[in-house]
Amino acid sequence: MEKEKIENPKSIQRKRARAMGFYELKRRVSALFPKRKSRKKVINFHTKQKIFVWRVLAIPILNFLVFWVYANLDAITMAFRNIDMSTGMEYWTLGNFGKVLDLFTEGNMLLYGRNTLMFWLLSTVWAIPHSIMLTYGFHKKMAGRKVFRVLLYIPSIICSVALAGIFSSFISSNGAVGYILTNVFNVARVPAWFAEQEFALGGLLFYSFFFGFAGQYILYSGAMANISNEITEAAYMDGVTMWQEILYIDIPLMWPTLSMTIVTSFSGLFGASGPILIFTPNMEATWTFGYWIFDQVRRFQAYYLPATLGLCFTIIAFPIAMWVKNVTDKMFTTE
Amino acid sequence: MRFRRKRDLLDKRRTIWEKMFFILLFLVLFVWAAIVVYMLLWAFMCSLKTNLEYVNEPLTLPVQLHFENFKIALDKLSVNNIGFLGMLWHSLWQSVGPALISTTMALLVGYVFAQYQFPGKAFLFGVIVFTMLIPLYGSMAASYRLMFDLKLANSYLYLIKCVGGFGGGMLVPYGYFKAMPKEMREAVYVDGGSDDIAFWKVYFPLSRNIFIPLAMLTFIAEWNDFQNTLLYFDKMPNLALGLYYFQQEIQYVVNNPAYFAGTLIVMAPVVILFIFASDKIMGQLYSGGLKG
Repeated sequence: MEKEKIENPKSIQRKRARAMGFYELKRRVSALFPKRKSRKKVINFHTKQKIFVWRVLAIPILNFLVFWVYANLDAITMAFRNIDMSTGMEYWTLGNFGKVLDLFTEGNMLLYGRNTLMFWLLSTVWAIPHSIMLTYGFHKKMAGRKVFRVLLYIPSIICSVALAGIFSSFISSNGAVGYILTNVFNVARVPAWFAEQEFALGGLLFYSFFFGFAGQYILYSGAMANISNEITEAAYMDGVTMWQEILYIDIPLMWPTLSMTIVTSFSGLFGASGPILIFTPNMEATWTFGYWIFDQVRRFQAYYLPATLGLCFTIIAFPIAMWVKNVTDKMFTTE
Repeated sequence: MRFRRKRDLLDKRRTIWEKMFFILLFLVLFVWAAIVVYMLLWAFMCSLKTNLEYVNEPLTLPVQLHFENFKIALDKLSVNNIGFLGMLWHSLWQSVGPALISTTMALLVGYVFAQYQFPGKAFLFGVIVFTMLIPLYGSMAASYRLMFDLKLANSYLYLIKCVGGFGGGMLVPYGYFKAMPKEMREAVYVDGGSDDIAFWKVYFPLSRNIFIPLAMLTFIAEWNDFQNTLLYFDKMPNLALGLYYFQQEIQYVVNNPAYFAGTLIVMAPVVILFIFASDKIMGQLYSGGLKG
């Protein structure tokens, strides 16, 4: 009897594996060692959205809490704190408010206040109406508007130090204006506009006026562009004049933008300033409240008195801004 | 209906006063523009003169072109032993970084507020409006101290401050995304995409119309900023601060042509950017106030 040939079990396995294919084998082997069923959490669609929203907002809110909320709370509490120079320790006090009062009675604060008011009037009373007229002119496709609107934007894009430097050289005794005044108009002495006290503030105001010529124009142009042509055409058919169009159509229709600029200008009442740091950093006669605060922080690292003065201004300006907002909200609204 | 005077928008017939107004406006703008353009050309002309030429004949063209003034300006633009190249680098990172980071963050926050409903949305929106209305004058002292306490001043870590977007800056993107249909987001969900994909692959590319001008405006503002640099970056000065110190110095060491060359060097990048991208910026700004 012929002895039955016993096949090597490994070769049998190989043959089977070839026959059933690798993946089938893998499946069978896996079946021998069953895996624990994974507890994969199925996240709800709305939960996913919420996670996305808060993931996006987390860092901006944290940033806001640190750089806005904390900084401003610290500024408010600074008004009630001071530092003991001998020990270097902070202590709580109401004395800062008395010192602020002293600044007004004994220091130059009233002068800074007058200057602040002048810069504010220039940026509000002058800039807003003239920006409306400028916007109207461009909106009505006046000649040269394309060139003018690019040129009007140039002072905003050029570095203020560079622009101020060129301007002061241009009008100086050695510059173009000085040369013309001396040789054409026979002016005996061209003043150093920003170095002489009697001309410095006027020079700063003129500079702010001249290069702030565009004013709020950019903002208003967007608002005026949204006024429907049909409305204006209908008004023309009724025979409105240009002034009537501006007063009764354009201003009411762009009022949300206009009122916003009016409210923000009132809320920034005590912060109005000019290019003092560039032209007259050492001439106190030209300083404003805003520049005094900046100077105290930068030069002396003095925190408490500027913070106190700032808090006083906030207490005064906030109700004013809110009142202006209420008044402007009621204007040009229909019941 | 009786029409006193019929005219349409393109009709040029106007009353004499209206015509006078337009003529006056044109003349005022023309004179203003002529002075500004002449002043800038004059500065360029003076930057190529010798100092003697500049003092004696400020209105004439340069006899010879003295480009060496630009080299002198490059040497003079130095603060705390940091030269032109160092300041150029600081100008770049201090302007490109905030432009990209803060604009992207403002877009993200604006997108979330415009496209999603979530608890606390009204409250957070109210906070943003409140921060815009409340006048805060005394916060400079606290911010200054905070910047130094957190060691963000004179450091690249300053860019952390730009990772915000929660404030008035998000209102423009908010208006833009509010006008976009929510169906695009739903189409992404149907295709198995996530909220991240919806923003980065669909909404963000579509928002380049506002991203580019907003980023450019931030870049220009940061490039030109010297006041914040003076406060927080005295050891990492940018070109604007270098020019500021150069201007202070020029009062004692008179070399005006070199100073003009310096101003032109600092102005150049922004002016070149404006020339190439003015259509983009101006178009967005003037045709509807960045509404897209």
